Amino acid sequence: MVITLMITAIITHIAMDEAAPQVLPLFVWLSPSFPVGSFAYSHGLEWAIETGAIRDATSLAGWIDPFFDHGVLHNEAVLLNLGWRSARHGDTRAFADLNTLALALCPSRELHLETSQQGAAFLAAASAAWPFAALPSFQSCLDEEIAYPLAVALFAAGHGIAQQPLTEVFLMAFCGNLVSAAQKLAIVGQSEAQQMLAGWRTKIDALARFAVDAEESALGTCAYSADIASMKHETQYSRLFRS
Amino acid sequence: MEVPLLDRARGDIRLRYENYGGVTRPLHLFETGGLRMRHPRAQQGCVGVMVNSAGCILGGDHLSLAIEAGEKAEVAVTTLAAEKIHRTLEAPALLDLSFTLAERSTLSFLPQETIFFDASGLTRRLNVAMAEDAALLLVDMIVLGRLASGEDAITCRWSDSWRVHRGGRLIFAEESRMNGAVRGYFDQPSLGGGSRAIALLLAVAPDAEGRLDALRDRLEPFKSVCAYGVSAWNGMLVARFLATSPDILRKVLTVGIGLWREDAARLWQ
Repeated sequence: MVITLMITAIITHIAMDEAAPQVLPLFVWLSPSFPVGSFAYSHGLEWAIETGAIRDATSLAGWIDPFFDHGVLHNEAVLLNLGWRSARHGDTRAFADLNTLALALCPSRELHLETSQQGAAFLAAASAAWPFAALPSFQSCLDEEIAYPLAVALFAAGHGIAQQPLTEVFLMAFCGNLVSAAQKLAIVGQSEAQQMLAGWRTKIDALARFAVDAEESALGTCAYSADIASMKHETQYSRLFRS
Repeated sequence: MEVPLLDRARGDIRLRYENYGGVTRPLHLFETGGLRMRHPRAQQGCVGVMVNSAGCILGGDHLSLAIEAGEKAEVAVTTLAAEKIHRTLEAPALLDLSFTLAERSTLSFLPQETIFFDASGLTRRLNVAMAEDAALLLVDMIVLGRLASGEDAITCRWSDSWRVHRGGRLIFAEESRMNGAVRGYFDQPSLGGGSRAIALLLAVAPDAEGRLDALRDRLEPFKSVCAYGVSAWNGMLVARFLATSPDILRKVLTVGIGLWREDAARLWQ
């Protein structure tokens, strides 16, 4: 009798979990106020703006648009979902390997800094406020560094957040951070920035759908100008951002 | 009745370099198919020159090169000519590169450029396993189209999957993908920005990061003709290049390689 009740309770719990996937934590974790310091990184935009490659809303959109299919947004979406699946399966080894790969794929020193510093800050803040049962087993298998999308994937999987909303909010936050950097550098105004973000909704939705089942072989970019911009940023004379 | 697949080329080189009392020599050379390794008298140490006797790479070809550098061996490997990737209706050609670097060995892989013809396809896999104190220098250049013949708006399929492990740990990975009309998307400003020649220089060695400023100084005179960036972290030095002209990029790379090798200007002649 007791066993039956327990099983019923477990089944009910699982069913509820499936029926009402959580999304609320996403709006905390991926908000600009979550203490990962995202405001300090421009992903090389500061250099592209310095050279005039980005000078207004149109050229800013033209710079970021290709990232969905051939640049950082594409890879981050794939890594996020690969990480989510290995974390969800409790596969600490696969998760650690993915993390190593994500860090090894960084094209420059500052882009490595951008992902590893935000990853470490996310891990620290989320571990304190949003722990979950399997967290210690993942913490013990990680090296000293964690890539940002993997840190987010770990907590999303741990809290049963579905992949599609996770990826959409993650990508929108990434775009939001890029646009906000451009805003600080006086390239776009407030309304233009918001219009740009709203305009990416379809692309974000499509990339998230693609990334949900994507395998490791789906990784791949050719955003060489953006990679070079992040390298050039290292020696930029006057700068606001760390990347 | 079995219908045989179109007979495509297979080429395979496996060899090991050893240091014999301060002189590096090739050993255990295995060659098959259209690939050969030659060792002409070199200016600086041991230099292997890979020859693809087919003169080109076609869809469905499968070529592989596996090199081991023994303890304290010092070797550079280049190619006799640019590698030309021909038009194909078949699967992309496959090129497998595998390098193993023992303690205190040096391996420089400095092939001439790879030229994609219109409607060509190439998949490359590179795997490096190196000791903590070994030194790797890798310079790779891609050209999109036979530019001299006016072929500057090609379609191609290119996929690179590179992994570099140092002391058993993955430290560098590169996943490059290009699939489609170059003019359609690669010309976008944050991707290729109108360039037709792309290069990557990767140095992994105990002294690699310390060469950051020296490489930047060397490249400085070319900043108006070639877009490039140089960066160093985690014991690596990485430089990326984009140029509209392959000839200029070859020159820039030669100057860059000169930081490591006095014979840089002679390597690609």
